[in-house]
Amino acid sequence: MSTAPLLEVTDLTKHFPVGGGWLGRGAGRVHALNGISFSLHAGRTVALVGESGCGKTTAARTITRLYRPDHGRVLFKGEDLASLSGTALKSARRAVQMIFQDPFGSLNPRLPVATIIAEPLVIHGGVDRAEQRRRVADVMARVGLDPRDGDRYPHEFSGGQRQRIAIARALIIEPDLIIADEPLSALDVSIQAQIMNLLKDIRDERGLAFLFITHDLAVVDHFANDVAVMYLGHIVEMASRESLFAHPRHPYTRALIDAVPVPGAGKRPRGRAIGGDVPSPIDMPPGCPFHPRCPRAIAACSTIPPKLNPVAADSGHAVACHNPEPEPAP
Amino acid sequence: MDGITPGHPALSVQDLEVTFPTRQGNLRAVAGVSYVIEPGRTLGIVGESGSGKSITALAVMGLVPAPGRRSRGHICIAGDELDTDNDAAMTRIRGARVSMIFQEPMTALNPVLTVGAQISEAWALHHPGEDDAARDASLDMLARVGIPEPTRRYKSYPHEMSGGMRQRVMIAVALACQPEVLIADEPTTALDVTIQAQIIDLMAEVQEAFGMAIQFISHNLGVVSEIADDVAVMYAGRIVERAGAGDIFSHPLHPYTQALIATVPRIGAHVPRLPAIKGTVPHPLALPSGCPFSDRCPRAVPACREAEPALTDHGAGHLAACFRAGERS
Repeated sequence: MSTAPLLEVTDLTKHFPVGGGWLGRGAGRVHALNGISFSLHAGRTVALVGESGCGKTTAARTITRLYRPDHGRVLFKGEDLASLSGTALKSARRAVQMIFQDPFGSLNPRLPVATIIAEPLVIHGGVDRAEQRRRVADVMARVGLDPRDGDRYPHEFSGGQRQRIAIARALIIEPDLIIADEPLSALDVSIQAQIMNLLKDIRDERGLAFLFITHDLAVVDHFANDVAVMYLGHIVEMASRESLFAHPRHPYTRALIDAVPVPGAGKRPRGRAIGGDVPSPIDMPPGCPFHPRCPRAIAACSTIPPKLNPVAADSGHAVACHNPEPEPAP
Repeated sequence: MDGITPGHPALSVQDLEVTFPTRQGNLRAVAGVSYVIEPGRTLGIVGESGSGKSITALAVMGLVPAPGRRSRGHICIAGDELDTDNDAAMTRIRGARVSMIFQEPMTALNPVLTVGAQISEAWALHHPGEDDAARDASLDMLARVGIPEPTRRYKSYPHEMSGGMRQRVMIAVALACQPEVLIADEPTTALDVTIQAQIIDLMAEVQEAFGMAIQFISHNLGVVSEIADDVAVMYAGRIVERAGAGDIFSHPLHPYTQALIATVPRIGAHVPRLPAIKGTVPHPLALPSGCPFSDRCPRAVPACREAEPALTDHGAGHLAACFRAGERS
C-alpha cells in the first residue's frame, strides 16, 4: 500500500515494576510489551491475537497513551502520540475510540444512557444541546437501540444491549480508528453474532479502521484483514488473514489454531495439546519466549531471540522463529 | 469402583423442577428436566446464560441456593435416590459419589490451605480413621492429574499456581474419592485455548482410568463436541433437544440448536455475515406463551404460541421439543 498508514507502531515497549525490595525498587519487572511494530491503514482491520498475558491489552492501552510507553513510537496520522500532551493529545484521542470487553464495568451505572453516549461530544465540545440530542438519537438507532430508551440506566439493559451502548458512545464523534478489546467475550453465543455483524456493518459503511484485540481465532478469521499473533509481549507472526490461516509458520500459531474446538468435529484426538504453561513475564525465558513449550525447538532457540523476518520476499508474511513450519509446496 | 449396580445408570434425573420464589411470582429456573448418564459416558449440556444448566447441576449436588428449592423430580445415583434436602445425607454423598468442579478454581479452592491439604481433606472425609493414608492417596492423585513434582506441589498454595494447574488440582480434589459422577460446570471457560485443550485431554484420561460418568456443562459448542458422547441443549429451563454428539451436530432437529450451531464463527468458513439469532433469551418470568423459543424462532407457526411442544423421540433416541422438528430451514 502506497499511502501513509493511519497508525504506525514502532518498537513499542512497556515494562511494569513489581513490588518488593527497598521501596519497591529493584525487585523485578513485568515485561508486558517487548518491542512490537506494526502498521494499520485507514479502513483496514488488524487483529492482535494471543492468550492471557501476551501483552495485547497492554498494547492497546499504550497505543492510546493510557500507559506511557518506556520505549518506541506511536505515529497516528503522522503525529507521535508519545510526545503529545494537553490539548494536542486530547484532540488526537478524539479520533481514536475504545470498546471494552465488559459492558458492565465500562458504563457508568449512575448516568442515563443518553448522557453516557453523549459524553465524548461534551468532552470534545463544539456541539449545542439540540444537536447533541439529535446525534444521540441517530447513533442509538444505528446500533439497534430504541432512541426512546435514552433516559434509562445501564442496569436496565442486557449484556448485548450494553455493548451496543458502548459502540454508540465510540461512534458518536466519528472516529477514524476504533480499538476493540475483546468486545465479544463477555456475551452469550447468540448475541456475539449480532454484535459482530453490527461492528462489521459499521466498519464497512464508515470506512473505519479497527485494531481488534481478541483471543478467539475464529472471530479473527471472520473480521480481520491482517493478523499479529502475540506471545509474552512479542509479535511472533504477522500476516494477512488468508496467509496466516492457510499457512501458519510459527509453531505457536499452529498450536493455537489446532487448539480451537470445532463444533461437530467429534472427540479430540488425545495428546495433541501442546504442554506446559505460559512462562511468567517477570522471568522471561532466554532466547525465543516460546521455546520451553515448542515441539520444533532446536538448540539456537534457547539462546538467540529470533527476529521477525519475512518468510517470502513479497508476501508480507513475517515470522519470528529459527525453525518455522515448512513452506507450503507451490 | 464400588457402588455401581449393574443395570442402573450412574446418574438419573427425572422430571426435575427447581423453583425460586420471587415477589413477581414463582420463577421456574428448571422446568421439568430428565436425563440419564451411563458409567464411563459424558453428557454435554449446552445452553446460554439463564438456560438453567448450572442450576440443574446444583440441584443434583443438593446445593440450590436459598430461597430456591427442588420443587419436583427424582435424582438417583446408581439407582439410589438422593434426598437432596437432607444435609447430613448429602454430606456423605458429595465427594464420595458425586463431585463438582467449577469455572474458576481460584474461588472454589481454599486460598489459605495447601493444595495437598485440600485433596487430603476430601479423601479423609470419606475414609474415617485412615488419616495416615491420606497423604499418599493425595500425592498419587496429584500425579494422576499431571501436576509436575507432586511432592513439592503438595505444599503449594492455590495462588502459587497457574489457572490450568489450579483446575488440575480442582479435578484431583473432586476425584479423590473416585465418585461415580463428576459434574463439570464450564471447567475450561476461564482458561486459554492451549490450556483448555490440556484439561479436555486430562478429563478424558481420568474418565478412562476411573470410569465415572461426566456431566459437562458449557456454553461453548466446540468444547462440548470435543468431549461429549451425548449432548442436551437447554433453553429457558428445559431440554429442547437431546441426541448422540455426532447426530446432534450433523442433524440438529430443533431450530434453536440449528441456529446455535450456525451462529458460531469457524476458521475457514467465510461468510459475509454470521446468521445471528434475533432477540435475547427471555426472562423466566416473562416467557412467551407456548414454546419458550417461539418469539425468536424463524419457523414459528401459530400452533407454537398456543401449546408447549413435548420432548419427543424422532427416531434412534434423538429427542426434540418442537412441532416442526426436522424440517430443514
